[in-house]
Amino acid sequence: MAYDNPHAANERSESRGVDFSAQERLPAVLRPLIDNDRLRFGLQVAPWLGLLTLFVFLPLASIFVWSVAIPLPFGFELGFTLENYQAFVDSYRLGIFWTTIQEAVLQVGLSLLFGFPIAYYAGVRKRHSQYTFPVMLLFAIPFLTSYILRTLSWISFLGSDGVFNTILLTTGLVAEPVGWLLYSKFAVRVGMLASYLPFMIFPAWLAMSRIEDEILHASADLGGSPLATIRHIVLPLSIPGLLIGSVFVFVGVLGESVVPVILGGGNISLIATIIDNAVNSARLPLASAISAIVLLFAISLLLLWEYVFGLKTVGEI
Amino acid sequence: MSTTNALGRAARIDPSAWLSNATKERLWKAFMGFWILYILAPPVMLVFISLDTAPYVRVPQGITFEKYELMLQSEPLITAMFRSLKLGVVTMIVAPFLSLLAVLSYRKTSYKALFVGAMILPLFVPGVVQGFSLLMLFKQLGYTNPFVATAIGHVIWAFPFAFLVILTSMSTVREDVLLASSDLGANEFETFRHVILPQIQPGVVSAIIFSFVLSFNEFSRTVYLQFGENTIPTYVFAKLQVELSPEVFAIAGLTVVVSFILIGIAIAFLYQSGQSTPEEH
Repeated sequence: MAYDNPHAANERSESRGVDFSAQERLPAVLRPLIDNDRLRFGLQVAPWLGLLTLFVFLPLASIFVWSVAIPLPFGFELGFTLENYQAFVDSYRLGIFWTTIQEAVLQVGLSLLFGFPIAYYAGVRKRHSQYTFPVMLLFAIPFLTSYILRTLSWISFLGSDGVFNTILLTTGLVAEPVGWLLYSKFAVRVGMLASYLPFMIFPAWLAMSRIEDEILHASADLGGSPLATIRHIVLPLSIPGLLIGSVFVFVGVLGESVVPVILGGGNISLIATIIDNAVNSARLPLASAISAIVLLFAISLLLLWEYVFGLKTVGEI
Repeated sequence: MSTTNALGRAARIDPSAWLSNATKERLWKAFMGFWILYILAPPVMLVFISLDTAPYVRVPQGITFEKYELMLQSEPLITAMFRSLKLGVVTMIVAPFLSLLAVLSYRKTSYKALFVGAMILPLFVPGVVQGFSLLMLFKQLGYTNPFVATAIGHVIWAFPFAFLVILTSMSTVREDVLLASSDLGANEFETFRHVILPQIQPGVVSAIIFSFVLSFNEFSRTVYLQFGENTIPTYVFAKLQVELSPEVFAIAGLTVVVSFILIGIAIAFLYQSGQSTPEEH
């Protein structure tokens, strides 16, 4: 693999020692780039690694420093105090953190419950149909349209003049509009599921469409019913996809700041809203402390994944 | 083992054996249809609401362009729109370029897990936390240029997506073709220009479009980094907390239509690349 291995390439060109035509076709300034494989690799890595280091790794690591800073009436001073964590633990904020975890687990459960059959239908039952790919791409549209606007739209379905109440009223099932459809926990859950279900569907679908035909056929030939095939073949082989989907959904709910505000109507708050409030009231060390706890949660999920499967599996998807 | 025996056993394991295959197929189609509606109905509904005659949200009953006229008269909305467009253009140039470099270096390195871990970490960090940490960094540095700060936030957000899209299309480029290119005397620039780029072009184009759309719709990072200079999503959110004003729905409807068109183009490009390369399985 000469392309991969800079040393092998060097040795070969030295042993030949005559053919410099590839270098000579370039302007003189760029020649060092061709002669020096390590420099070229460095120039490919430096821009994005620099950007990520400066604006992702550095600020995220600094969060932990700021979270133990000493709060002052106007701003803060670097130092060490656990006061900020104390302010998080000894207040309504801890309760909201637990609510967020519960809602996140609920969303993971719902998206597994509904995302698994959708992925199974597309990835196993209809894997050879030419319509599967375009139909599944419909599920990708929410990734790319603003979730504020999508969430806003649920008002027209759940509101007292909305689609569901209109249907219920005209069919005579209820006498007056159902109130708990909008500005309630129910509305927040419906809105969040619409946002996060695709995050489960795609990894699960990818994992299932990678199961080989021969394995599925072998299971059927041995007398396995579709359910037995799901239990003993599809489920075990799609677990990496289901896990990455679960992580995306969980992290998404941890950072959810829009749906509870638009659809919850003050009946439910999640942790992101608390961070937002702390920032707006200039309690930056407190916001850092809450962020640090959320971040620890997210990073431990990433580490868990690395421990169970290894991150190389991402490159294979 | 006789056939009836096997069937009987299958029926014991499969509780849906009493349903005919045609019924099962119809149930599956209804199930899929429900979830496609669940995901797609809200954004599509938004377009109809923006054309509705009532100034509040209800089941749309008429068509008028009143809200769009209000939108065009709203000075801050137009400013926000231009700011969103400028940010989108910067992101769609910078993020795919960086991810192209990242994919090229990913192929050469032997620390693949470390590379992927570093690149997809931003996907694991909740947007609020990432936006807030960047805000703190800029505050500490005393840097308050809203455009550059927001652009950095957007590039970081779009980068992992662009990387994954280009990486996927790069996986169809075979190693032996690159070796052949260098054996025939091409240097790495020529190999990239004449061998790699033509093959991954659809992936690069869709990464560019995805980056633009992701930037155009970004909210949770922007809200911390804009220092008072609204983009479309933050303008809509700020307006929502005061009242549901009609021009917000016009901009919402317009964004959905534009996003759908861009997504359609991106999908067409992806599909084209899927057709031109022979499937391996």
